[in-house]
Amino acid sequence: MRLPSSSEIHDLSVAEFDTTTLLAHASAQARRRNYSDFMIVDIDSHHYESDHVREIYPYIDDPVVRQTAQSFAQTMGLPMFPQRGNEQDMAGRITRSPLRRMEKSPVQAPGQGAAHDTTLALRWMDAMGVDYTCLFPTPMLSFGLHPQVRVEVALSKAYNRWLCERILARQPRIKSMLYLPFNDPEEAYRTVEEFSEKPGVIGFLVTSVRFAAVYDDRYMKVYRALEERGKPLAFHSAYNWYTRDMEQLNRFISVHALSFPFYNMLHLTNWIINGMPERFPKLKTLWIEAGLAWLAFLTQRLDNEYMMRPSEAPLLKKLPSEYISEQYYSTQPLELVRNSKLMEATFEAISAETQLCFATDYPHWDFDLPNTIYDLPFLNEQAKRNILGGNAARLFGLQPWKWDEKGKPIYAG
Amino acid sequence: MEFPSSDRLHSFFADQHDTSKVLAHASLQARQRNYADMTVVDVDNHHDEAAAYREIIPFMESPVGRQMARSLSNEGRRAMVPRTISYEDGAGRMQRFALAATEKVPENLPRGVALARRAMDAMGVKYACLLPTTTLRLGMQPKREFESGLSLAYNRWLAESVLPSDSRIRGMLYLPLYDADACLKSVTELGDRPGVVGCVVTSARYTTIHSEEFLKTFAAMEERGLILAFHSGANWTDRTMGLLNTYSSVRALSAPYFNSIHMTNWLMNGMPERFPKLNTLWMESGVGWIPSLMMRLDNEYLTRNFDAPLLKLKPSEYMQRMYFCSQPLDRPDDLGLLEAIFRAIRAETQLVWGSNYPNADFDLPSTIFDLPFLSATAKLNILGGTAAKLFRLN
Repeated sequence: MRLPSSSEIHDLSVAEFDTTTLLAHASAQARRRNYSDFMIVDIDSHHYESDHVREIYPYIDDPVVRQTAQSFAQTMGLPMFPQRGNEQDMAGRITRSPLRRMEKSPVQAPGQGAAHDTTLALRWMDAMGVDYTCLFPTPMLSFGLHPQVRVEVALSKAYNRWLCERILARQPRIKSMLYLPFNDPEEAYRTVEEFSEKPGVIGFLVTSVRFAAVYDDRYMKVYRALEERGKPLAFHSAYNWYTRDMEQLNRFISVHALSFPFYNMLHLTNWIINGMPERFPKLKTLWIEAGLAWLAFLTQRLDNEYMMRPSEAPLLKKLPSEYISEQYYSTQPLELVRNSKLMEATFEAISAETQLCFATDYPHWDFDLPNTIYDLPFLNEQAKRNILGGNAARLFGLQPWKWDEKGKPIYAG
Repeated sequence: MEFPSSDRLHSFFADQHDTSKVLAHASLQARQRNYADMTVVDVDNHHDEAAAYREIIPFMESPVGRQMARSLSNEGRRAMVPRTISYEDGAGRMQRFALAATEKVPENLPRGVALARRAMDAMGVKYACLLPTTTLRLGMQPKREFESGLSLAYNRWLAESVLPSDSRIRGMLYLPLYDADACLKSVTELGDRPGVVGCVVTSARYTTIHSEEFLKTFAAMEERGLILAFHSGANWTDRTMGLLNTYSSVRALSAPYFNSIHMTNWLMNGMPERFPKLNTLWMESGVGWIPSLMMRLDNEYLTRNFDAPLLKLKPSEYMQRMYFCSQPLDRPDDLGLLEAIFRAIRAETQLVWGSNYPNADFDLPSTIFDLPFLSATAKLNILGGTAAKLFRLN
């Protein structure tokens, strides 16, 4: 494949691509830091489900949506998804994005996209020393903006079935929190009912990029169903350049900086102020892919507002920051701040030692390796291990996946 | 290529596309109606300029923009142009979209020109104004420098590589209506080039067209006798349009909606008084929206004329001096209604026919020719006479 550069002379021509080679330094890091001593859980990684629409579309129930989707993919070569401007690969500098389709695997064949993705996931998990990963889709993160609710419902259900049957049921190291078609609360409820007992389903997911009020009464039975089944609810953020506010920004970096925390801030504010933690005290919630810096801001801001206007949040029995420190958070993209005291204080504010869960976001452009956490100077060894795997293992009930003859666990690192 | 249907039995294969064959009935119509005896001008014909992005990108000035565009178009994703959900090909029902790339054309002509000429010959069209397709979505590109850079490149490519190749083809410069300097640059650099008849604003955008910064551009166009066209379209990413759940609904409402906004701003801010010789052309919204907006704006103006101090006439009177493209022509059961609309907008001198070929909902010349209430002169004018004057065709 030819990768264009600033001039034709500097164009790159690439003949092959291999995840293990790409992540050689990650493997070296894993060995040097002895990740083989403990379990690492990555609660947020991705695959490109849009590469496999031909396998997924036959799972669509609704015959009209199925035909439209299949025809559209075949004739126009496009998925039936809302499309985001794609500048994530920085004009080709992040080569794994365009090159991913060149990677070979022994299971590669038409109709075997799920097996191929599973092989690739195990490649990077082994390279990084990751024992379990929670695999999410990619373009579907923008599904919440789909103007056709019927399509969001039909496609997400098809994806969930395909994922459960073709990936989760076959590879115990890959888990997922399944997409809830949140623009239709009744269908979201049915999704919980249909899938919560399937192997590998460790929770359910709201993609945060959407215009939905999470306190809406119509969602209460969804939350109750999750609470009864002990399945955590995650909010996975993303960006949306096409809003009146974000359109003022002229660079992807700016949108990426603001839009991710913005959506999670919005939903977490609704969640707390409307007393959801009091109404569903046993429901665990997890906030993904917004980094951590926003939490230092939100804890202070909400406490201050609450103390001035508690009458507007009558269900609360303690400060917003106290509820915030009882939720779960993913680490990625961990801000590499100049002043590490700020980060340390943020870790403290959210009770990181018990609430923070490591995430790679691999293979997206800004992924983190486990050393992002392991090398932090202010954490003790136990805190590092909790964040890298222990907290997630407790939250999702994960056990080691391999033991030696003496019954001692063997870890991927 | 397989075109899947609701079941295997009804799916079918097609591997070749030939515009002349697709338009065989149009050719027949053209002969039956003797279009050879008149000058038919298509003011709205689209070329697939995105297929030529590799030729257009080198015209971009910024090396950063050039590299970005090359890289982003590498996989044919055309990601530099915002996408909205659309089912333009009706899930395979209109095969010309998927098969467009398979059509063979002579090598001595730009592909877009060769294809346009084929469609023109089939429809009985003498002259056509080529407008871009994919690039019209650039109005929603929040990275504004990209709109400026790519549109200037398109304009230069159009003036240098497309228009000189065929004396029957005309074109319009794309105005990146966020960046006043870039708009003015296109007009002053390329506005006098042969074949350039005006400038097109893609209406699906969030710009106040009466902003002071654009006045220089409009003045430069007025001096050169260039037409200012507002080309509307479907934009499902708009918050209001996002309330609609079918593509047909968006198609029905989005185009007249954006043109109504810009028309209202154009009138209430007295632009027709400030640029009395600048001709405006409103495209791809049909005609139904025009009289309703005329009545509505007149009514507002008569009760609150202090809001529009520059106006010397009623809004509808200015609108009667503007030009409108007929496509997609609305089809009321009661043709008397259409006749009344034609009268209200002075169709005989102000309406111009456009095909919008090869987009999903194109119109043939018979759409106008077969209207029973039009006089022979009116048909001649709408199908070509008026546009010939506007475009200064010989």
